[in-house]
Amino acid sequence: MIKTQASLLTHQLPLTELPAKPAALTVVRAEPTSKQPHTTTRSPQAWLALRLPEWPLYAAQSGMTPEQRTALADRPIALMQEDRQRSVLCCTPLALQRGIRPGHSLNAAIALCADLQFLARDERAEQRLLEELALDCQTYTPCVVIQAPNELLLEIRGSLRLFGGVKQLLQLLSARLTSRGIMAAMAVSGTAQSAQWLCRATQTTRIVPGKALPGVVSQLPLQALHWPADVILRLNRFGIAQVGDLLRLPRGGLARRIGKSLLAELDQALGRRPDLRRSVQAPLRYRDRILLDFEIETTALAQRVLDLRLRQLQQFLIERTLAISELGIALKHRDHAATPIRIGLAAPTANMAHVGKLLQEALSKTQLPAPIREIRVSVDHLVAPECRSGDLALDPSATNRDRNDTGARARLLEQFHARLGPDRIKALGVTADHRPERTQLEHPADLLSDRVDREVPAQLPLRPLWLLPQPRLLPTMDSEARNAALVRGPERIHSGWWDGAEVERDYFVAKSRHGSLWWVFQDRRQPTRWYLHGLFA
Amino acid sequence: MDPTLQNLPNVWRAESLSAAPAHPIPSGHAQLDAALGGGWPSSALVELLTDQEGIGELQLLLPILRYFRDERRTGLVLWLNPPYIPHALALLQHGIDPACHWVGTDLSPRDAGWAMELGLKSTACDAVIGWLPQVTPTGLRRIKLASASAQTFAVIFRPLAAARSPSPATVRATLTAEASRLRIDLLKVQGRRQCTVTIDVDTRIDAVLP
Repeated sequence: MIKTQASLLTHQLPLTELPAKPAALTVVRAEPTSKQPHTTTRSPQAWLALRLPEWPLYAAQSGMTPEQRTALADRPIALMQEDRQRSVLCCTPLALQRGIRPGHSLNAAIALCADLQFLARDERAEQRLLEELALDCQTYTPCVVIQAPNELLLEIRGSLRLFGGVKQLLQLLSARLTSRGIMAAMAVSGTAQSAQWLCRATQTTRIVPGKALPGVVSQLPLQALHWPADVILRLNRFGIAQVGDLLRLPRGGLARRIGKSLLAELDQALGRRPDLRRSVQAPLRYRDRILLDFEIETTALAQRVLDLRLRQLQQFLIERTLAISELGIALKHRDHAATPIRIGLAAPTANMAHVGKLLQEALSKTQLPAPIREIRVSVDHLVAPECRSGDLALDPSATNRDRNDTGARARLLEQFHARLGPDRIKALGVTADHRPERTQLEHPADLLSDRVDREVPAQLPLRPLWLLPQPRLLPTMDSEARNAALVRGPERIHSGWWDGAEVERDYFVAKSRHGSLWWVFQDRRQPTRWYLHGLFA
Repeated sequence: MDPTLQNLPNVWRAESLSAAPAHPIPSGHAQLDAALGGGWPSSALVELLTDQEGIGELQLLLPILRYFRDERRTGLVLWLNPPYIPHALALLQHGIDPACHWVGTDLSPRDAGWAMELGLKSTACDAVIGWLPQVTPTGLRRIKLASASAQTFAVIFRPLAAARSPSPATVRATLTAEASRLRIDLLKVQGRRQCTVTIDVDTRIDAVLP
């Protein structure tokens, strides 16, 4: 009876809202609370906690080349924390032998061991590798929970029969970790919280059966709880050193002293309270393989085939409320390497009609080395789409409103990229500089074109609307004709002596023979040289 | 559609909304407004023929760009194959935000025509200004259709010689410099008469220069 109840209560609840990274919530519920919670006969869960004590060291070394690794192989290494004191966070066994301990300052460490090798901590790599390891651990169970910075929780109840018991599973897991050079402390227990505490308290692997759980938890030192330092200190002052001492205290008073959330942790560890954990999920991918009955020789035909498959992809995306931000296509040939086509999107989309247009442009530029035998479509990252409310269809101002819509901009930009190549369309901008060629900014158009809110000095003479990309040297004209032609000026621009692109110019507005107004300047360092720099159009 | 439905007096059809009468865009010059019938027709193709640059052709377009700013249509303005680069600082001085101006240079005539049509069809653009000396009559018609269907404003610059060939443009004008003034010969304004307008370009600069 109890068993059925437990299996009913333990299930995966999909989240109703769509988070950036899809995740499932595992509801872990213990036996119904009775008057004596310690008499739990059978635990519905088995949690394996994995603590990686040298994780920062492992992560810091993960990015190294093999040569760097061999150079470091027989040297003592310490990982430094990038804080004010620059203290040792953890170190290799060799460094431990030399007397280095975590918490030593940089100077103390150098004094103890002159050839100590220091590494900087890479927290981003730690997180990334932990996520990778969590996905790797899904070999053993679908429910893996990441406990940053260096712990993993695996719910292994359902996998025990497959792997032949807890011990076999632990052996397999530790062999896998050892082969990758990862040190781990492990503990198996009936609740997630207690397994986590247990693996912090021991170096050896511990398996705690359900009956023994309260007794084992009672013997845990308070340090294993990783509670705030001031709470631990306060409890130590009461003379409390173990969890068992804590359990003997009256609940009401304890809740006032340590807060309800910590008391809840205690209840969760003993299985008196449900424990909700978020399990990691492998990023969703999409793979499609089209085996052609006949070889295709033109890209136009390939486009027709792909259009059908893109419709399938669209259906797939709509069913799951997902979008793609990149599409990879590989055209496979008989005797040649596959032709890759990559379509990058400026904004995630599920609109395959648009992707089809981009694909058409990409395909029309593709040269086929040989007929196509097989086509593969792949999307490595499926992302949540950006959803917005549509306009009421009858609203006549709707067409005006969506002009500032980034989606339309993104589609336009992608189509330009697909046909013209990247960065051919430039967006204009200004920077504060006196030199006209520096003031003018032309950067590749993107979606981040924020409004330029620069104030133009009111006394600044009017600039021409046309600017020449490079000042054009004017053929010398005699001074009289020139003087007659100059309408306004001079405006002296002398700037840039600090960065090697110094200009020293006198700008004039001149009238050309054809009636147009020119923005010309005389180079003050070569007074005979006159340049055209812009046109007042 | 069912003919009885079509003949109902109180039923409005949604597709007729897209063909709502467009407001003209004031050109900033009273004379020109009168000749054009209130201003530039919005969502239309304007063809400007000139052989010279720097005679005031952009001054002519500035009121249009300012109109889009004032109407809070913060969409893009796309410049295709301009003879020179639009000066961002000058645009700012004229009260126009340069960040929403995209410029494509050195595009092949085919690509420029394609980009113009694409920009006009996209709801992201308010206006597309293109220098397309080699545009074909078919290309012009496509551009006009794109502009009309998406309610965007299209301006095409072509050489004076193109005046001899017919064009589907809504407004067609030649621009020439005439003693410090810009002379606009309106060859064609759909539904109106031909006429000539001259605009002072030089004095407008004088007014701003110290």
